[in-house]
Amino acid sequence: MSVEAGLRAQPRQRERPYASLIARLAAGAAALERAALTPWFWGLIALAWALVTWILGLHAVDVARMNDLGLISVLPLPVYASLTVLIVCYGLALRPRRPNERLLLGLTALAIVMLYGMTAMVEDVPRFATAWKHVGFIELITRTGRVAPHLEARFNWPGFFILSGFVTEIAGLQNALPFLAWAPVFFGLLYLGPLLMIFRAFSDDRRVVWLSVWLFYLNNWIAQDYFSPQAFGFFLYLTVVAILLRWFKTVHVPPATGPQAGRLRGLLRSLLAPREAPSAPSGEAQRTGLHLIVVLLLAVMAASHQLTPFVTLSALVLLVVFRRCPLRSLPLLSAVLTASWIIFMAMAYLSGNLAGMLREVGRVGEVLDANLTGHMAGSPLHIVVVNLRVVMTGLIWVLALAGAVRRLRHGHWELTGALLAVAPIPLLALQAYGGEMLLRVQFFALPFVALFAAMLFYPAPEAGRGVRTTVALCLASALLFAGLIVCRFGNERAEHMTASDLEAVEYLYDHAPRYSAFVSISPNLPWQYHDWEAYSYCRVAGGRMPKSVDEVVAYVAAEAECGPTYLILTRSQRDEMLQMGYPSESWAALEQAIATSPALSRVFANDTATIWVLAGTQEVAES
Amino acid sequence: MKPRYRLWPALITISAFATGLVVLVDLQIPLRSLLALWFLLLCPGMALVGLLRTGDRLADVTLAVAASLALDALVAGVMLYCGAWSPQRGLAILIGLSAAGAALQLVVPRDAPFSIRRVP
Repeated sequence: MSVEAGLRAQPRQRERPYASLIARLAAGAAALERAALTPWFWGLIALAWALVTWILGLHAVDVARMNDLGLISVLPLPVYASLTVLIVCYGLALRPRRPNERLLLGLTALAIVMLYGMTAMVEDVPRFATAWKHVGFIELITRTGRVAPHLEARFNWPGFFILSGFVTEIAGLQNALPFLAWAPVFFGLLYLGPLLMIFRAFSDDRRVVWLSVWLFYLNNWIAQDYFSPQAFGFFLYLTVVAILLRWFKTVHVPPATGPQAGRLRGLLRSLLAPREAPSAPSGEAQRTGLHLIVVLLLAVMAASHQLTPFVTLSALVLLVVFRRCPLRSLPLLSAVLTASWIIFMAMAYLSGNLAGMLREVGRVGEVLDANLTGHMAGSPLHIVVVNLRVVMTGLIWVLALAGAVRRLRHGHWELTGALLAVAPIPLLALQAYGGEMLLRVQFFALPFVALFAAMLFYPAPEAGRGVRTTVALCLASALLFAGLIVCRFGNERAEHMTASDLEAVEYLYDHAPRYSAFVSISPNLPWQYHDWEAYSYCRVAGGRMPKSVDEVVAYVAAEAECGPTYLILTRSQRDEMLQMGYPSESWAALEQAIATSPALSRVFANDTATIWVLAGTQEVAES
Repeated sequence: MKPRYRLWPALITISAFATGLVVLVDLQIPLRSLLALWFLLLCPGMALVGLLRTGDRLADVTLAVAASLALDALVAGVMLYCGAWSPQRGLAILIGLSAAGAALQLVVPRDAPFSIRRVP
């Protein structure tokens, strides 16, 4: 290269890096410009904004200011704004005939986190006294390596607790408390897989599939997805149903022909004939493997929860009787597994409760009374919450009925979905389940009710493509969102726990000698999470407000026969009593009377809790 | 065998090895909980479900999670009721099960005994 040529080349060499950088920046800007024209870009921006607004909004929540409407009474405007963005994004994402499923998956996951993770974000201690009790079951298993069926009815179905204990140990955790706060989000995400499989078995229209998912999560105010055997059992139930609908559908029914086939019989056969899409293709080995997985899930389910195996049995019987499933031996197998567990492994529970259980069988009126009118009590605001729960339940069933009718008018007769929606209802004839059977029935029916409600908006592939459907969908979603927050978190004032409540309970465990008795007015406090068998737990007056301090002292003194007896009063107990309708003055008067009683001496107090010991019993224990 | 068919067997084997190393040697590392949850939630089930070759990723993951949790509960429950509660031993059984399933997925040809055909 000549000197002249070298001099000419020099500036070009210096310019090249800048030119390259500028070219890259220009290309990036052009790509950004192109991306800015896509719904994806603006959707992501909106969702990121919604998430940030949601987090910042929840950061400002003061749970101590809640009233008996629950969490909704303290949620600030930014939280509603973020949820509105989510609703609009979902409505718009469902507009195309073939919606973007990745986008819908992201939106659904975000909705689960934003709805079900709300309490974990605003509360400093995991909520719900029953969940703390479950941690105590698990601690007993990991500490002793055995179950104690005589301690509690739930211990007779310990599958979930054994599993949690095993996971806790392998994960190197001290106890299962870290699982509590985010358990509803975890289970919500877990349900998504089987729900999608179920809904895809009913419709090829992806709008129906994703709207069903959306409506399921927006109506799940029953809140049985906390850290519990029911949440686990529900997942197993959904998976069993998903496998049957995906791979084990009866696709062919012989037509009614011949002289004996009358008109009525022909009509009946026509109604019962399966018309859904055929099962997914599968080989013999696959079907055997899937069958084995179903048996495995049924076996674990039988050992994990009292109620779920019966719902599953009911669903299996209906599917087989109405020829929706060719596995005719499956209901029998499910019944044998369930009965075997009860007879051989749950005898401790059965021997003490069989007579009471049999007494409730067939008394549907009494069960409905216990499930409905039994809950229609409490403070005026709590009554609003309870009534709204009834309205929400009625609303989704009305939408589902309208959806079924609209679907029928488009020529689709969805008998399988209807069978699965009504499958849990026979359980109402079995027992009241502590006044919760109606809730559980609604929980198990909800996926299929949501499916029919979605079909109201999209009854056929060509339907529901106008702006009116999107607007109606967004309005319905907004209504359901608001309803869900009130219904699901309506008891939050009582069900949330505070660090001060926990501090008082920890004091008890640190200072009370083993085999002490712990007495409370209500069992609504974060206790029983370790050394379950080392203490006895009792409540005065069966959970109602004691009439006088003498009643409390007499109860505490009666427990003192076993050892030192402690009385603990916390904010969580007080708020539960107020939610039940007792005036705040009566609680204050009771506290005042206890404080001045010579029979009890105060050993601990913080801003929300106080502990007394029955005079004389502590010294006896120390000596 | 296509590389994508080796993905899950490889992931299961690596996860089983890592979880076994961390838990059985009792290494107190920050990611122990996440690693254990990942393994127990997905790997034993995926080792078996992978053999079914459903061709549906959503179904595979869903069944794998359900089967994993059921297998974990079954192994732990049998140990407990036999009076031999030992989480480490239970984990060793699950690691063995996962490794065997992953190896079978590699060994068994994809179109041999599990060929997909429509059932009439």
